[in-house]
Amino acid sequence: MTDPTNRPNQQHLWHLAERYLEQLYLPAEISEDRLPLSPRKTHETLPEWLQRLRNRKLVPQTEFIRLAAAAGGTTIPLPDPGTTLNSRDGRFRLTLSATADQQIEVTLQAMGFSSFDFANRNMGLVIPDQPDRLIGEVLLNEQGRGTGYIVDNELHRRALLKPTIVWIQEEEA
Amino acid sequence: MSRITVWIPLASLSGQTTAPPLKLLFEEGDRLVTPRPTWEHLQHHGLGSAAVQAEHLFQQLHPHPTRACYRTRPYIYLANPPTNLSNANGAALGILLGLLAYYHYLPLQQVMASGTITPSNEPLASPLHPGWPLTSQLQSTRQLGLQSPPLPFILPYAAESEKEANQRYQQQLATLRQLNIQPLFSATLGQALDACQQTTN
Repeated sequence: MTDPTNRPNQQHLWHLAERYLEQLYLPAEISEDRLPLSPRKTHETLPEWLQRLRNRKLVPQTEFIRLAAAAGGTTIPLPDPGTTLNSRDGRFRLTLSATADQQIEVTLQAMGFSSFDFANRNMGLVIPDQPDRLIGEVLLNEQGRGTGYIVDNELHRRALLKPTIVWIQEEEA
Repeated sequence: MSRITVWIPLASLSGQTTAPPLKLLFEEGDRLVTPRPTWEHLQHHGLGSAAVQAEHLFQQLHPHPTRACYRTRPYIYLANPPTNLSNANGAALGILLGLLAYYHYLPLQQVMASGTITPSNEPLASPLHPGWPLTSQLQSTRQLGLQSPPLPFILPYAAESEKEANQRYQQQLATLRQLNIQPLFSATLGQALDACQQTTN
């Protein structure tokens, strides 16, 4: 069986894909199936998918302030189990919890009238003060609630000390 | 019966904002029901696990409670519940001191405490660890303003020794002393209780 990457047009696509992946600032140990990318839609070709990812815009929404009563320890802590955080503007609630497979479960809930505004929208978590560095996505349902997963590593835990929410706005090409 | 006030400094984990300390109040509660404290008012604010740790330590310290313990159970609540308390394990020391003061094991009316207790078989030898980050907690403490009578502030060593801790946080600690807040460094729970015994307010 021939290697598909040897064909010139496929090579171009692979170079394109590699370039986009480099822009995601991903640690080397993450496998491709755990990338924080929105999944490919049905009947969407690879170039269309990459083009869609390229055309989207991250619109900053709000951030969460985490307060701690002497949260000592060697590792960067997640919130205590069962703790729900409220955003600064009161429009979102966030729950973070570690899973058994080295991931962090992120549950985002838009509150009040914001649940209408953000229903069925794709939201993202970014590194604080760097609104273009996406670390995870959460697709909200029609009630404005959604769950996503991000890889549990030091970079992401540090970012979650001040969770910052963006709306991933997809523009037409 | 008097009210016991416990302050617990809060730190912002992102280190950019400061929040006022938690204000925990211990007041006389029911007389006819079980004398054990109940934590339902704290659990809603994420302080449940800290309260359980404090209760466990209290039982280790005083396995045979005095008659005073069976008279009334304390009504414990937060006077200023924050909306974004994310990690509350460090509140256990403050809750424990509040319980001891309520049951007259400590001569305190108000106290401030910060630090995480690492459980050990010998409760008095349980080491206290400084919060993270301490600078932010000291800023939180400053928001209380001038105190009268003096407010004892139990905090673990933030460095290898008390002298080094005093040097590292010299400016913040001097400000607290001006506000009549007395920082009392303790490495273990036993030292913290001794410091409280020597303080009267």
